[in-house]
Parts: sequence; structure tokens; C-alpha cells
Amino acid sequence: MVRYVIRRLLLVIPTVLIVVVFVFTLLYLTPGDPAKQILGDTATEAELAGYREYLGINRPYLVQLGDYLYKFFIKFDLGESWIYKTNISDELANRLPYTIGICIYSVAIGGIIGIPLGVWAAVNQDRGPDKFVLVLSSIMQCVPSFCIAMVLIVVFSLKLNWLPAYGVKAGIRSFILPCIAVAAGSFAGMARQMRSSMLEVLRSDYVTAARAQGYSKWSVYFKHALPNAMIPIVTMMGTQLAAGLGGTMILETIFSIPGVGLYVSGSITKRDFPAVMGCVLFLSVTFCLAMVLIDILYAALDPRIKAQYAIKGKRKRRHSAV
Amino acid sequence: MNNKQSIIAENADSDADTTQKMTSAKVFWNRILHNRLAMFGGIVFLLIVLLSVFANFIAPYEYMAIDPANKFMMPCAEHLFGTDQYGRDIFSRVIYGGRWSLTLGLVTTIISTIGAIIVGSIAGYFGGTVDAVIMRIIDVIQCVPGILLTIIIATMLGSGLLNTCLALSFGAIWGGARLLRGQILTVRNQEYVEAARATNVKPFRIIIRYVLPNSIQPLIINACMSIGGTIMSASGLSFLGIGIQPPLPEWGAMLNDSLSSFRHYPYLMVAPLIFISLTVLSISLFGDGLRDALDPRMNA
Repeated sequence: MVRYVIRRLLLVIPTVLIVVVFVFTLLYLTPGDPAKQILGDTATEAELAGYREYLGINRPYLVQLGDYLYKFFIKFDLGESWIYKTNISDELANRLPYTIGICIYSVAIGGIIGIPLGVWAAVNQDRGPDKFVLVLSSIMQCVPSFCIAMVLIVVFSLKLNWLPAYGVKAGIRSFILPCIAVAAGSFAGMARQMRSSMLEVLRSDYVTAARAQGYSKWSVYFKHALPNAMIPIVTMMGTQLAAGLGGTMILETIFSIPGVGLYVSGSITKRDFPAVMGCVLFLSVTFCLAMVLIDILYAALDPRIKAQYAIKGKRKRRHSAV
Repeated sequence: MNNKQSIIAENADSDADTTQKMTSAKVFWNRILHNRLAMFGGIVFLLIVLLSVFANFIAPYEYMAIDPANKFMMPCAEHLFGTDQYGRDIFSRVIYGGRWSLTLGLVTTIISTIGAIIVGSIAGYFGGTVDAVIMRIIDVIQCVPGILLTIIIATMLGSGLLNTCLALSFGAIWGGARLLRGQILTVRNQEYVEAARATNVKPFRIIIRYVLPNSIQPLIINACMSIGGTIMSASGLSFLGIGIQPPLPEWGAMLNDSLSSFRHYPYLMVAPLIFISLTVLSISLFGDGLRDALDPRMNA
């Protein structure tokens, strides 16, 4: 298991290397002159040429790429924003708490609502509650989160005046609406997943055995079935958390939350390529690491998977001894 | 008594005959026609498609016609969903907007499915190093958050219908390719494929004639289900001001357009919101029915 984790962690490095080359090439091929974008239309040709040299974008593609790779992998430096002249790592560190906050709270709200709904639907299969949950989750999955956000703003901040409509000045209160908007979509997926995995577990032999032994209905549901049925949900929550880091862009725009998403979407439209590269790299590395973490968590939760790794390890050792 | 039994037996025989005579297409139609939710989804989707295809006959106003005297009108008999900040009729805009939104969803799905077929069948059929390299590339691409990748490519290609479709489909190819590859792996070693290989049929002909017909079904179902998701992402992209640009009435672009004034005139966002959600819902209901009809085993 430890070997497997180390191998997975080492695999992150070549993956990130290819992501750098891939995204760098995409940005290099993007039309539009960053110098013109920054200096404006009034700049003369000489000024533009000078600025291009200052930014280092007049050099050949391979030199620029090599320079970036050297800075990123050897010096761990994401560089400086072309437009704001600020250090990108600092900028990310300042903005990250907002984005992570939205992701964690929204996945937590999604889980708190989605998991019980899924269990409720599964234990009442094909009856009223099941149909209600299926219809509700189908509808919620079909409304884009930015639409939900707009409705929430109109109802809770403009009509009822309970919560702020934008900004982060009100502390935790300003995060309630964005988190609900994200959670409204994610709880539906979780409820569906929870329902199907709970149904699968309830049909298994060991649950029948537990019932035959005379355990009460609730003990069978919560002590025997739920822990195993939760495993796919944990993976799903982890994936949603990792994907959410990149997906809060639209919500941060609506609620004017100064997180990573707002930074990256602003940087793309302003052709601030070092900032875009920095954000993409940061998000990709986080995503890769989160996937490794989910795998470890998966093995920790499910003894069967852990046993598989143990068997594989033993076999390998035996082979190497032979 | 004997007579009765023979009649029953005869009836059973004729029943068996009719089931045998029913082609798989008939079974499929039978199943889908009896699925009420799927039929509802199909009819709603058809209505939305018809509304946007015949928008030039149905719409009471031109979608670009500006009328400053009638701006911000509440929904009324003349303007079913009211008018926006330039006095444009929202109902006309929303049904014209279907042309952009639905085209985005359909064209993107077609492009990404073709891409998935090419990538997935090459990886799955040839296997070995080719497969390993393609799968590693897919792993890397899937590490970059999807919406971010789409936005970068959309900026690179510039705005416009076809460019937005290309940007959206780039992110959607890989999941489908993975799915198809998995299916092909189970098919590629079957006897009939080996027979074809033994008779010296060229690899691409084998893929098209023998492998794909037996492995493509999950990909097609997946593609049908993903049209709705694609319409949502497309509207999200336009909402960020990157995909289809206002004043074109794409649903996401309309919502973006209303962003500056929806706080005071909330009815501005109602029509595009309903149309996006209803379209996605109807596609997902119909897709569910399609999946159940084609492959009852998947009906958990």
C-alpha cells in the first residue's frame, strides 16, 4: 500500500510536466498581443516592441517554455502577473481560503441533505418517498447553478433582505448563498448515488443474514448497510471537492467573491498569461493530489480493497524471492 | 378439459410466435412508448425544438428590434415574458435563442462523439503502447478542470458558434473515449473479430464493420444524455461572456445580459431560466427512457 501511494505521488510529477507544456502551448497559440492589451491602442510600435521584450514574449517558443519549466520545477516560482505586477503565488494564497471555503461548505451541505434523502429513498424503494426524491433530484440536476444563484439573490437578499447579495464583507453570512447555490446541484447527484449504492448493499447476502438474525430494521440499515454504502459517496464527495475548485468561477463572478475562480477568469480575458498558467497549474496539482488522497481514503474505508493491496504485495515479494 | 388445454397451448404458441416476430426495433418502440416520463420528455423537447425552428413564424416581434419607449415592461398580453432594458420582447428572444442553444448542444455532442469514436477505437482496438500513450494523455487532460480548459480554448479560438462548439467538445471527448475503449476491449478478442483478422481485412474496416456496431451503444446513450449537460455548460460559457456574445439571444447570453438589471427586474431572467431547465430536464427524461429501452439490464 505504501509503495502504491509513493508510486502514485511520483506519477503526479510527469503529469504536471505535461500539463505545463500543454497549457503553455495553448496560451502561446492564443491570438491577440498581450503588450497591446496592457498598453492600450494608443501605444506606438516601438513602445509595443519594447514591452514585448520586457515581458520576454518576443523570444522563440521553446526558449519561453524552457524558461517557464526551469522557474516552475527548479525554483518553484509561478512568476509575476503581467498586469498587476504582483506575485502569483501570494495572490493564490490570498484568494484560496474563499474558494476552498465555498467548496468545503457546499459539499458538506450537499452531503448533509443528499445522503439522508438517498437512504430514505432506498429504504422506501418504489414507494412515495423514493419517487419524490427521484423527481426532486432530476429537477435540481437540470437547473444550472448560476440560475439558482440568481433566484437566491432575488429572494433572500432583495425581497427578504436577509443575506448580502455580493462581496465577502459580511463574513460567514456572505458565503451562505453561494454555498447553497453550489450544493443545490450537488445534493441531487449525491442522493441518486446514495440511493443506488444503498439499494445494492440492501440486496446483498450479509444484510439478509443480519435481518435473519433478528436485528431491528434501523440497526440493519445504519449499522450494517450504511457504512458499506457510503464508500462510493466518499469518492464522489472528494471528486466534487476537487472539481469544485475549478468550477466556482461562475458563482464567484455572480457574487463578486475574490477567489481563485474570479482571478483566473479575469486573467484569461485580460491575456495575463502567467496568472492563467499559475492558476491552471495550481488547480491541476490539487486535483491530482486529491485523487491520490481519495484512493488512500477508499482503501482505508474498505478493508476488502486494503486486502487486495496486501495480496498483491505478498505475491510480488514471493515472485522477487523466486 | 383436453380441448381447453390445447387451446391454451395454442395461444401460448401464437404468443411466442408474435414475440419472436417482433423485431428489436419494435420492442424498443414498444418500451419507449409505454414509458410515460420518457414520452413526456420527448414531447416537451420536440415542442421546444419546433418553437425555435419555426421562431420566425411564431415570434410576435423581431428578436433584435429595439423599442426604447417600452423598456422594462412587466409580462403582459402583448409581451408574454415582458421586455428587457432595450425594449426587446423577451418571448421572441427566448424562442429565437433556442436556435443557438440547441445547435450548440447538438453540434457539440456530435463533434465530441466523433472524436470519442476515433480516439476510443484506436486506443481500444490497437491496444499495447498506443493504448497506454492515449490513456496517459487522457489522464493528463482530465487533470485540468474541465470548465477552465474550455474557457482557455474558447479564448484561443475566439467567439462564434462553431468555435464555441469546438471548445466545448474538446472537454467532452475524453470521457466518451474511455467508455468506448472499455467496451472495445471486451469485443476485440471475440471470434468474429478474429475471423475477420484472419481473412486479412484491414484494421479500419474491422473497426467500422465488426467492432463498432457491437460496442458503440453505451457511447450513443451517453451522448444523448450529455446533450442537456452540454447545453448547461454552453449557457454557463455565454453567461461568463466567452461563448455566444450578446446581443445574440443565446439563453446563457440572455441571462448575462440581464445580470446588470435583474436585481430590480427579476422577471428578466425567468424565461431563459425556464427554457434552459425545461430543455435539460426533457432531454434527461427522454435519455433515461432511451437507456432503459435499449438496455433493460442497466435499469437498477
